[in-house]
Amino acid sequence: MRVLGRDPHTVRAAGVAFPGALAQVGAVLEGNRNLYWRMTPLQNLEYFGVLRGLSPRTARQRGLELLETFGLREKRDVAVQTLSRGMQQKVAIAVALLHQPALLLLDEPTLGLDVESAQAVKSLIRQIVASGRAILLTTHQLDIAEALSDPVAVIRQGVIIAQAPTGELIRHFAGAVGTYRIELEQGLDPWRFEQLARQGVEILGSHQVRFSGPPETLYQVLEILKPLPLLSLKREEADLTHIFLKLLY
Amino acid sequence: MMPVMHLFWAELKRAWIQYIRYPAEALGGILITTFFFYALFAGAQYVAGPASQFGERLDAVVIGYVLWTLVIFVVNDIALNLQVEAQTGTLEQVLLSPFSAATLFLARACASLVLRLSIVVVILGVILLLTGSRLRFPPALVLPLVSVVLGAYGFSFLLGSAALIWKRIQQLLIISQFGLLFLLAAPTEEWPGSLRWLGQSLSMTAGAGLLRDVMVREAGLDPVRLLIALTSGVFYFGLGLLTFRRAVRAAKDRGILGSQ
Repeated sequence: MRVLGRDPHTVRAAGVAFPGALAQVGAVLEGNRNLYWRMTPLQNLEYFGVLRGLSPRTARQRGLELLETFGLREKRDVAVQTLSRGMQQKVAIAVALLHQPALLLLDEPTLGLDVESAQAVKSLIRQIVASGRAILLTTHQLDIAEALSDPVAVIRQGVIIAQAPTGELIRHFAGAVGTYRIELEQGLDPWRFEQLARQGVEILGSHQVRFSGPPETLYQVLEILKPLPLLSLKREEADLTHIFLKLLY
Repeated sequence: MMPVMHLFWAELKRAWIQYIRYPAEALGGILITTFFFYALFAGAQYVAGPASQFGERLDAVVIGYVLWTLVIFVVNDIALNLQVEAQTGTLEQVLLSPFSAATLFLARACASLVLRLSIVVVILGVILLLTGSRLRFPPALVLPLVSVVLGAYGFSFLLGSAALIWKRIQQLLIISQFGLLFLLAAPTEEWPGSLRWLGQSLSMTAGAGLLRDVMVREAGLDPVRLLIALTSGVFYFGLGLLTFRRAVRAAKDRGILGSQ
């Protein structure tokens, strides 16, 4: 972690003992060790609550509530080191929410989790957003970014090189040149092969072709195929992975 | 209660939980400490090692030994803590607290000192009961002890700063023990001329000299030297805190808080 700009510790509001900025931020940083492994989830919550400036009683009460909401009630008195990675991650997120921050920073929240735990953490993140908190999520897992983030920004070497609402970004990259996959009920004859190849259509097999280009040209391709019966015509969605690669190279 | 007191209690609780998490480990530590004290009471003063410089009498040896082990513990505590937490990854999370890093680690160091001291006092109490021996603890010792402990905390924050910036400082910690031995054992109060004042201005030496006065020479406290000792304690403590603040700032600026 590197603080760019002013360190929030040094920014002090008049008459406020604690800097305001930190009070509004919670964070779960990359890796599994945001917690003390020798302590139980509840002990961690109580400890970090006080560390965030809560009274011990409030810390305990909020800790219990969070464990309840996160479905970890039965695990409250088990040492953190014996919990699964997914549960540890949930406890870490609970710790970050103790002081009820307006903004939650999550760094690679699903890294190294099995499918089921990753799903659980994903739905937890949606739940937190629904409760009215902002989340800034950084990840290398683009499917996670696509599923959870809106808007999305692509960062290269510390600089934002694209930033837009996720749907808009995907549409933008899909927009100018669409990619269509056409499936045919019967095989293509040599004449059509040649005609299609001339239009730059990619032949995936005797029953399947792929075409990239503006929507107008699509009809020229369809003209060649006429009157062969079609099974399906589908526009391939661009996803964040494609966009990311396009932006980088 | 003040938030800082809440913090201290939370740290004390955390220290206790982590201490008893592995009962065999905790028990082993207690047994070793008990053995050492028992050996002291049985007359084997050499086990006290460097601490035997505080005199031949049992009181002096025991107090000297406790002081020596506590100072070593205090001095290593913050630096070791920082290294372990940077490795496990909790350090960055801990430093997101609205408490400043210096406040936080001071609370931690005080909590672990209290825990450690309580264990030692309980063990000593049990041994005194079993052997029927008695220890004399002159109240005149309190202020020199405070000055030494303050100096030790200053030292600890300096080593903590080194740990934040350079990460692996085990070698430095080992070397620092020799420095400590010199600071606590060198009889700078007997040095001639201006060398004496130089010696007395080092961290912890003035307080250690006063302890020798009271325990070995059975002399009273010299008010001027007590003032020097306390001033030196406060000065080195402040120096340590200030350096630590700067080290935290530097580590954040360079983005190396969590690196190992």
